Amino acid sequence: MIWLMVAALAAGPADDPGAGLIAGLPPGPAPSAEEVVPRTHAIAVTLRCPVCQGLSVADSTSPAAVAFQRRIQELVALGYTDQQIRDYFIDRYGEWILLDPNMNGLNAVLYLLPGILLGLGAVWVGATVAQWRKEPSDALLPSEVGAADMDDYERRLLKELDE
Amino acid sequence: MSQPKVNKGILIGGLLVVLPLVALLYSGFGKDPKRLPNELEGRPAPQFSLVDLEGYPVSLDQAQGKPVVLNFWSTWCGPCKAEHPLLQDRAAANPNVAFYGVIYQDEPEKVLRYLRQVGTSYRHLVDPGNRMAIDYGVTGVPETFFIDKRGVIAHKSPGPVYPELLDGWLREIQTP
Repeated sequence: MIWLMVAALAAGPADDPGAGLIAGLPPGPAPSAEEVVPRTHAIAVTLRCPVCQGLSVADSTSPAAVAFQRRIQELVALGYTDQQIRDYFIDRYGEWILLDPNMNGLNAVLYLLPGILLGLGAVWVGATVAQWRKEPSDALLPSEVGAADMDDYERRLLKELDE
Repeated sequence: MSQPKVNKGILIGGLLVVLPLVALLYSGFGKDPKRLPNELEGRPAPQFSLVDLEGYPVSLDQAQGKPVVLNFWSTWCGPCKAEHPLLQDRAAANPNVAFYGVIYQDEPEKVLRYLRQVGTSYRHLVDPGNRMAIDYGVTGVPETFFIDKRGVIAHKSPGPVYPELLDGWLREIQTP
């Protein structure tokens, strides 16, 4: 008898034969009806519509996307977590189905490279500015400009300003 | 003549930038960019429990150790109609393989009308809400799955099947 109950639980809720494909069982009670729609939308915006160009499941009205939305809604209503539902779609379609790939393996390069480049750029700018400050400049300060370097126009201008 | 001086900072910085990019590009070498991702090959076929167009229940368990060919299709899909005679012929010629059509986003009445015109030698399953199609990771039609005697997906073929492909995989899933 116990074995029968365990087998029934492992197969997922009775009204959802496909739910046996999802890792684990719903961890808690089914959410309230008000929670289902916003959670369905929140998951749908992270999944790629399989027949569209760069659109999420939430943004597409194609029959395939609508079927995805319905499936997400069913699973949310059964009490599965957002991560369990996302993992179910990744398990069926691969990471390709996520609009934002997970940050693991080579994907991490895409996430980290811009930060590394910015960091390296900041270090280079800092080092260059420090170098400029250390080295004396070849340019003469205004006080160092001798009268001989002034042309007639400047001399007249300074004289008129003094008057 | 003296050796040019190497700026170690620039060298290390450059390597930090270039090496990850090279690794990223290298990982893509040899991959077919047109190949659709297929997560299910080599894994047990997801169970299904549907009814056929006559209303009789059909599940994967009913195959009972027979290899299975699952063809997702619809009447609005031209290539699906084009491959239908070939599937019909091979289904009749291979009684040891369980052939099933799975109707994808179509009305059962339309499918019945079409099959009455062209005939069929295997059963066609109604998949409400595309649940089975999603369980199988179907992205469009036609898509054909070849499941071996152990119930493992040996191959998923996106697009219409042709004689060499169909015959090759039929041989493969029937080999002990």
